[in-house]
Amino acid sequence: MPLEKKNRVVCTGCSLLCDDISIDMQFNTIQTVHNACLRGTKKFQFSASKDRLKTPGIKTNENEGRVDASHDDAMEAAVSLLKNASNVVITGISRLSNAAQELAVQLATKLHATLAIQDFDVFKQVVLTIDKHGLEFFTLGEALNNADLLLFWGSNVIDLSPKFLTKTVFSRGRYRQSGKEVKKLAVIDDYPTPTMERADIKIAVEESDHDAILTALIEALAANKILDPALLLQTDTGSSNLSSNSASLVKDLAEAMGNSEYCTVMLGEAILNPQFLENHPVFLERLFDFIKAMNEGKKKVALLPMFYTWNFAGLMQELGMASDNVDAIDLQELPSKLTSGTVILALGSDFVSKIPRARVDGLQVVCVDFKRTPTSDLATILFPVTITGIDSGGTATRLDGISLNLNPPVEKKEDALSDTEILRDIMNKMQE
Amino acid sequence: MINPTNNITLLFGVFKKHARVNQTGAINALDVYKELPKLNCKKCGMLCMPFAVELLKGDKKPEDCPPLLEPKFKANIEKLRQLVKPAKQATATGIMLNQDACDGCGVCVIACPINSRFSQECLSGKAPDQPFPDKDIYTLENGKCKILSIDECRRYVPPKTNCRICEIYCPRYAIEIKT
Repeated sequence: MPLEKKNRVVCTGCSLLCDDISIDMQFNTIQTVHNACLRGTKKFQFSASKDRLKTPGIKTNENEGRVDASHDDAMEAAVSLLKNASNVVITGISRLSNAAQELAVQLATKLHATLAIQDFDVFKQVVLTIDKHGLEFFTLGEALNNADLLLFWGSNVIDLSPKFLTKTVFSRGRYRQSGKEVKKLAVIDDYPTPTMERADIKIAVEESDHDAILTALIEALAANKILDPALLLQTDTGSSNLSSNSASLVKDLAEAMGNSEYCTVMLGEAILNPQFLENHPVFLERLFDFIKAMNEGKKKVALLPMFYTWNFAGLMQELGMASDNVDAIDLQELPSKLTSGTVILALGSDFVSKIPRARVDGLQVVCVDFKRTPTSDLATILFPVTITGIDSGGTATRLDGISLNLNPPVEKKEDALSDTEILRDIMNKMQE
Repeated sequence: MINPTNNITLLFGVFKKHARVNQTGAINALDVYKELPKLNCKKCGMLCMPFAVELLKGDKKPEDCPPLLEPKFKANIEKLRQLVKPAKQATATGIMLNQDACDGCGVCVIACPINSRFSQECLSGKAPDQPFPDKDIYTLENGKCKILSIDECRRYVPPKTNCRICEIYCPRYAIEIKT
């Protein structure tokens, strides 16, 4: 049987959702993955792995293992568990297709369940602060076509999303046709990362120095008359006490910002984590205030917070449209929600790896996943599911807010169920 | 008639150009010459030293030397095949790929000016659709960079420019160009 070549497949390895993947198929199995990075390739190749979960299972007794069951029996047991729970928590929704996320939120509303989302507190703070300052995100297309200065603040994007620089910094855009020759890459981070290795302006600082860097940048731009300090709302500027080397690099960055026509600022994991934001409570406020002031002063600066779970952006859009009846917490707070009688619906989430083991014993878990994890091992009821984007379709939202139609290369098997179908089944059975 | 003195100068110049300082264990033209029959019979169309240089560049194969095919030079031809194997991998362009370092980011695919010439998608940061154009140089296969063809590489096609865009832009230093 000759190889069938499928182009424009969308990769769900990370939030970049590369839509230029090309797959060689034979006997409905992936043979070769073209145009994907190592991370995406591994996910595509896993679709044919013998380690994929295949059969639903039910654990009837705490002391015994799970036994294989039919889908209908497992569904009946799951619905009974959810209906009789004193408290339901739903996790892992950022790893579902857009349609499945909508169903999960509807289910949460119906069950008065709590959504436990990784990085939720951070994202909430980012969104509220952005909203307050009226800033906008940029799309990858805008970065590609327009950006001439790309500043990664606390982001080691090369390791977390290998093709991000390919699509923004190193490629040729409509108004930047010489590609990297006319684009500058700047990195500010706590330690020398591979991303910083490739930067034109590299500012390596201590974690405590980010506030000082921002102050020094504001002062340098104000001194060059590029930024009007009167436009800043935040008057508590703090100290700009830096080493002479760092101070000199910040001046280079300020000069580059002054000369740029379109600067994009990518905020990464070194900033967008609870510990940093707790230690630097006004950093985000000051940074967004500064970006707004630059835009008001006619220097275009756009922003993008970097979250790497493949449909995190879709979940945030869904929560933005949902009613106020949806209760959402950060995954870190999950242990505080666990009481006897709590049932956790884990949708592609391996939450067991992220909370203290002692809080997990005795928990009732309904797990929907395609791969074996500590969570699937612990699950009371297990539903194997298709891999969204590989053997089932739908839509997903890229990190810049653009929705993409997934183009799965593998034809779904008849008895296989997608995340949407399983959730719809649960919803229907709940209504019976 | 070629002036013998000029010919020696020409040969020496060619030898100097292709002799490499052996800091990393890279072979040089003398290493190759030592394994040749050294008959200067010109059955391959040239003397043995320039033939050694052509072998190193990958423009000739050991089998192109008729005396080497004789049984008494069997050990020599085996040794030569091993010696020129790294040169073949380096290709005539000098490009060496370190597969262990490569993470499949695809910068080489979209930054290469030849890829952009034959695959329009590369101009906007996208990797090309299949079937890949024959003339494309770089592609990604199973998460790693791979060379499809060097036929149009600017380092290979006259006037053989010193293009190093792939080496300079690779974020993982997985591409090395040996001159």
